[in-house]
Amino acid sequence: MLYTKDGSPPHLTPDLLDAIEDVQGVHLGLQELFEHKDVFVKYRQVKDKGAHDFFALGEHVTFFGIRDPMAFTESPSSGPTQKQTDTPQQPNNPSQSPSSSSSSSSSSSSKPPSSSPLPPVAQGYITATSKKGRAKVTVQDYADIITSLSPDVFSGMSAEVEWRASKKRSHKACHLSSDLLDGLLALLPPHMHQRVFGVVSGAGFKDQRLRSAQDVAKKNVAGFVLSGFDTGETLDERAEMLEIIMQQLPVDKPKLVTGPGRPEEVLDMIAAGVDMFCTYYPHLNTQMACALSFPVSYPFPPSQQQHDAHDPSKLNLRDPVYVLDKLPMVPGCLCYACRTHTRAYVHHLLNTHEMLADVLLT
Amino acid sequence: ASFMDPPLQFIVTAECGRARVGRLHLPHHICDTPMFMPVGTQGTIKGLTAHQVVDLNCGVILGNTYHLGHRPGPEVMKELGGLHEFMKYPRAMLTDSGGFQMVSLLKLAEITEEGVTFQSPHDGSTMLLTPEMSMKIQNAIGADIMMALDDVVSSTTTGPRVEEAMHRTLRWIDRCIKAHDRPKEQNLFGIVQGGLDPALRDQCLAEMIKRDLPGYAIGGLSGGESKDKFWPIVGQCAKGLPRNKPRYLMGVGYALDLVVCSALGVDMFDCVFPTRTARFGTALVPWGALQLKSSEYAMDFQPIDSNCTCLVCRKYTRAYLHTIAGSEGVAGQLLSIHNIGFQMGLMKNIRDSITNQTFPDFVRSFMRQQFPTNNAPQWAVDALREAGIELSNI
Repeated sequence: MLYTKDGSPPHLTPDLLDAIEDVQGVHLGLQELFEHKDVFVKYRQVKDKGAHDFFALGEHVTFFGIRDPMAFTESPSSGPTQKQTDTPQQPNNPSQSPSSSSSSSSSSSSKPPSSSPLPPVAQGYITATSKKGRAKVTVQDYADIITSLSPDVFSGMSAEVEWRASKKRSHKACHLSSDLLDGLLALLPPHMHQRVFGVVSGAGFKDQRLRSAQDVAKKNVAGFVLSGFDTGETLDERAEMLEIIMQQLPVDKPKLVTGPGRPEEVLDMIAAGVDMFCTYYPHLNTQMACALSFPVSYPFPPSQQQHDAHDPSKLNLRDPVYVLDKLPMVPGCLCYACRTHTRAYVHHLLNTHEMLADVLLT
Repeated sequence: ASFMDPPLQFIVTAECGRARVGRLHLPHHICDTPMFMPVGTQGTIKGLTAHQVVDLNCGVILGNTYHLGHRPGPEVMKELGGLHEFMKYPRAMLTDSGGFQMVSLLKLAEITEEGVTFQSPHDGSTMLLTPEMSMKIQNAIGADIMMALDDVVSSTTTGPRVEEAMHRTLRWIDRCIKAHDRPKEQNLFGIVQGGLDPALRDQCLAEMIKRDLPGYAIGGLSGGESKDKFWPIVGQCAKGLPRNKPRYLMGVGYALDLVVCSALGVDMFDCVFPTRTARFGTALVPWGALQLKSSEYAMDFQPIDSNCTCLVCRKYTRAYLHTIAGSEGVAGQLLSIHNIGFQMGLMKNIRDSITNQTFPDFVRSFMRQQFPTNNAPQWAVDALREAGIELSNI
């Protein structure tokens, strides 16, 4: 799923995006989009339209995720530790800073769509971190942004923890994911239930992962987000954990992972049963002035590299060796940049700090 | 590029007052004037692909000799087949001589009879730009139109320096003509100087016309002089230049200026304004400009201009553009697409109304949109009057 920033793939205007044939879907991130929630809500009210129209995403599948593929940050989250009674409805204020993570939330109750009282667990929250700072995202907030944007598929709420988090912290996150999912489903209209991906949490703890997977496998969800990968685990640990998780999950539902993007890792994960990837790996390469050049079809053609490279999977186009190179970045590649331009031109654009370099590399 | 002999033909196809529509035949493209030429300083219009520039109906775009002469340099440029091949832009190009940088980088430049010595702001290295060197670089770049190296002074300069620069410009045009190596493929334009002094301008005009060049530019303006000194010189030069050759006013790009100067008989314009302002989050519209970073647009679900048919106005709301204006690179790209489209649309309206003999009505309706409370600037009123267009007072 293509990485986006504020709803747009970096450097790709809609005409350029449409010209890239193999892109099927995009990732939309809670972290940076949450600050615009009120705009999306209004847009839905006024225009009855959502993410596809607002971000001009055309025919692309949209996945709304919790974790920013570009930056992994642990952020505070909280579930209630005791039952709460209903309190009069107050508007949520997403810009207030969250209290410390272990205190129970005394946030206002959310307004349920029906007249039945909201289950107490729905008063937990997670956090969205954007350029403006941190914001609390309650279940009601998340439901609002989901119903407004109406993404094709979306993650359940989850607290992201890194692989080597403490057992206690990870345990809390598992419970939160589970509880918030129930709360979310209670707030969403039925036709959206078929689009939610349940979250498998548990950091590096096999027993927690097992329980989390078993728990979410029972729920009536469309697919699964396997959270917390590419947060410090070794490749062996990852493979082992994926196996444990996959055994618990139904075969006929998609599994999505946010984070890893290097081609070898993607291939390993596909072999393990992962179906969808949210990564900013291509964008990272663009920022480093590298053109990805690893072969993508089998049988592999003989190496096209003309120069010794430390990493045969990419070309660093800042290298002065390309100044007169009239070849396309990757000979045989059918993208616009390779059909039209030369390595020499991209090298020049990088040298002169021109934005078009990023556009073509993207 | 087609082989044309001579490599430029200019035919006036309609006139309305002093304004005229022309067909300009260049080796790489046939253009309609009056036309606006976006600026692609370093071999790219910032952030836009060559295809996008073509899709926007651009005819001629600019490249900058000083910058391209520095990076990638004339040898590399020549080896790679010239700027057209380098950028893969199929239509026409114009390179300026590098002279403007004399003014804009003045602290780093020293001007002598030989040429201009620049100190690069990037790495401190010095580069001597002579008329011969400028021609050599521009010949390597291979643009359809090349500008002579002129001695440019800031339009706010007064005194003997202005006259010195005008005379030197004439000596340099002769050196340029001599050094120009590809006269059958590239057109060398002379630049009329003389500051804000009508007598100097007249002298320069007379001398330039004697050189019988394919086209001429009005230089040394658009640099901070007051508008009521600017327009009479534009008018004088446009009037004084031959009717059957294109007239290029350098560095002019605000909508109002484009309309007024077209009325005075100018055919070609260039400016970084529409693309630069796009990168700061500003969208150009017939009634002015939208500063999309402003929170007033946060929940505005209209397109930038509901009458605009560009990609950006068809697909996006002001509210969305507000979320990314000034912060995401793609915002600059999107707004550049819109702004260039805007400029192209404006020029088309100018041309169509001249052809249909309704140009004065177009100007009046344009002015009403830009200045709805009858607050048009006096200089524009005066200039249009000189061009034969009275703005009716409502």
